[in-house]
Amino acid sequence: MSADIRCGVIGLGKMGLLHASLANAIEGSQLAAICEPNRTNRSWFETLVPKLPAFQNYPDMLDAVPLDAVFICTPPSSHIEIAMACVRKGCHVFIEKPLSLTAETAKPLVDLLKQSGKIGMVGYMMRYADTFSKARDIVRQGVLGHVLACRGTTKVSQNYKAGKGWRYSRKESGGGVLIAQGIHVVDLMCWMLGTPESVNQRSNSHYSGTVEDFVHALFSWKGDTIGSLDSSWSVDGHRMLLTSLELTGEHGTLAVDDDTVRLFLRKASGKYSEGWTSMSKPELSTGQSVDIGGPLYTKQDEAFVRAVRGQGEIESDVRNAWSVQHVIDCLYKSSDENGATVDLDREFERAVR
Amino acid sequence: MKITDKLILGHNQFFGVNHLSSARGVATEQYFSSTENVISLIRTAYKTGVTGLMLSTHERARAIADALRKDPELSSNLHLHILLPYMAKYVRMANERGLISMLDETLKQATWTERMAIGLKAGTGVVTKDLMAILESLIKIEMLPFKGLNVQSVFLHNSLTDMLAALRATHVVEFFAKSIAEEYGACPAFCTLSAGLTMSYFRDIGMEAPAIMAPFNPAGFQMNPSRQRCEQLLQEYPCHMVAMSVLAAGYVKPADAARYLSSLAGIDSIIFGASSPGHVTELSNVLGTVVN
Repeated sequence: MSADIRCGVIGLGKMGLLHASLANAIEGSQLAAICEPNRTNRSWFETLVPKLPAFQNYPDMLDAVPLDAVFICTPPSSHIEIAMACVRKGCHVFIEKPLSLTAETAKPLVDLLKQSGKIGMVGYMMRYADTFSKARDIVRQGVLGHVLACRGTTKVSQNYKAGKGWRYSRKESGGGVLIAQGIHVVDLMCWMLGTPESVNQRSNSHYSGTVEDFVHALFSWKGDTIGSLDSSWSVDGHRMLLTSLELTGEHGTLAVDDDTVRLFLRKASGKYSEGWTSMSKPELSTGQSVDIGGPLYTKQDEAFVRAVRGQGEIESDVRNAWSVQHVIDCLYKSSDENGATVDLDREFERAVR
Repeated sequence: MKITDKLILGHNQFFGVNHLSSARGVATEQYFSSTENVISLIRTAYKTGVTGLMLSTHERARAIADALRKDPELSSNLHLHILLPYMAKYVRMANERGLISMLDETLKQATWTERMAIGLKAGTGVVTKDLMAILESLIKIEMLPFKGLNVQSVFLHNSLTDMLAALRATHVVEFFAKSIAEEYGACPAFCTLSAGLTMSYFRDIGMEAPAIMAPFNPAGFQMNPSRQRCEQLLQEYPCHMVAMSVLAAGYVKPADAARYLSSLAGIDSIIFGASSPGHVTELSNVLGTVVN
């Protein structure tokens, strides 16, 4: 494929604007159309890019403009329906996370993508952060030995009152801080350690009322690996979202966040020496073509564009995201049952594989 | 209006931003939660030859601006370089409420005095307004804390500069430049983390000698798409270049940064952060050799 791929973006909130900009800036792709049901939002974008075809409804966009790929940045409750319409029109799809409200509702899309051979990517962009990517290499290379425990955190000072709109409706968003932010850590844990066998979760909705603001979750993997997640968007002192993960193995401990990777080894392992090894973001940076919302988004969207052009692989496909969605379903089930242990469905996991 | 300052003190340390360590950022923010400590650092910087100060429209910038007004020497001699908008606030609000509600509430939350000052009618929200009118109102609200101070330039935040460059929204870029020059008599300027994209785009649309703030450091950190391409554009495209991230978030030693910047023709100013009076003196002395 030599010409630029033609991209559409559906939903022009913050993430839609970012993907629209990246689709127009990344080598090998161009923004060809947008769709935004809200008239005000749409008119703003038309002011920004006056000659670009803009639509109120996505079926009109898919009928009128030939597209190779579509970025779907609408509320989660509409992801599957829109993605299926795009794939049926012959488009590859990028879906902002989460994939869907539940794993069950995503199954028709998983099946359709399998039949069509189209690419379905889901926006778990933390996999493209230099620090987390390095941490995963360390874990997968066995530097830590057998991993015994992992502890994940997300925190940001964001929500201190009940709000309006789809984010506060579990029917439209799927939930609160777990599905909006904590899900990234769940995805990273699954990426590094595989899918857990059982989970527990307690949460409260002190500020938002309708969706959870604080989450404490526990995970158990096959063997004796255990893990926890502490996630909140109502924590003081964090103007930016902080995501961190600490893994302890038989040989040492690995702590990773958005800025650094710190490894402590009781004895040398692989290319890493005994004691502390610290790696900072500038040291780990592999560079990127542009940086509009953060390097990880550029790398993620570049991987998608390359894959659509038949030139590379993606880290987070719909199948991975479907599995993460199943873990999220089980966490919410546990919360609804006052923290009861919920076993993941082995049949489901077999279907994913 | 042109940027005349060779050295500009950055503001990230005042507001807890540390690109190498969030934890260290929190500790520094605690120290600078005292406006007195902030002003003390600015005074030290000024005494060592730093004639410019960058300020974003962070919630606490108003207190710093008020303290500067009370200092006769700083208020008349120190130039301010404003970075707007304060993106972290808007991103948080957009996460929480969505884009329209975020802008709507920002305009509606303007105080009565602010509304009077910018000519915004009571109850005016964004639904009835076009994008340019909203941008105009937002610039006015963001600029209010700095009224009466010596504002030499106003930088558009890199997220917006790079988004506009990516979308090639030329009329919005021109609108920003015109508003800043005409309304505030200041130099319109652009912060970018995508220097390759943005400088090429500015050159394509025929923008003459723009003021640009972009990363330049020997590690190549944030020099996108590559150190080589950024250096090449610096050579080819005449602009007023304010070098930022010169220490690559603390990864590069000041002497190495100075050696590298001195080897480039075309760096007109340097912006840097510092966490203590000793630190600011050291950096001012070392980096001053590049531009003076």
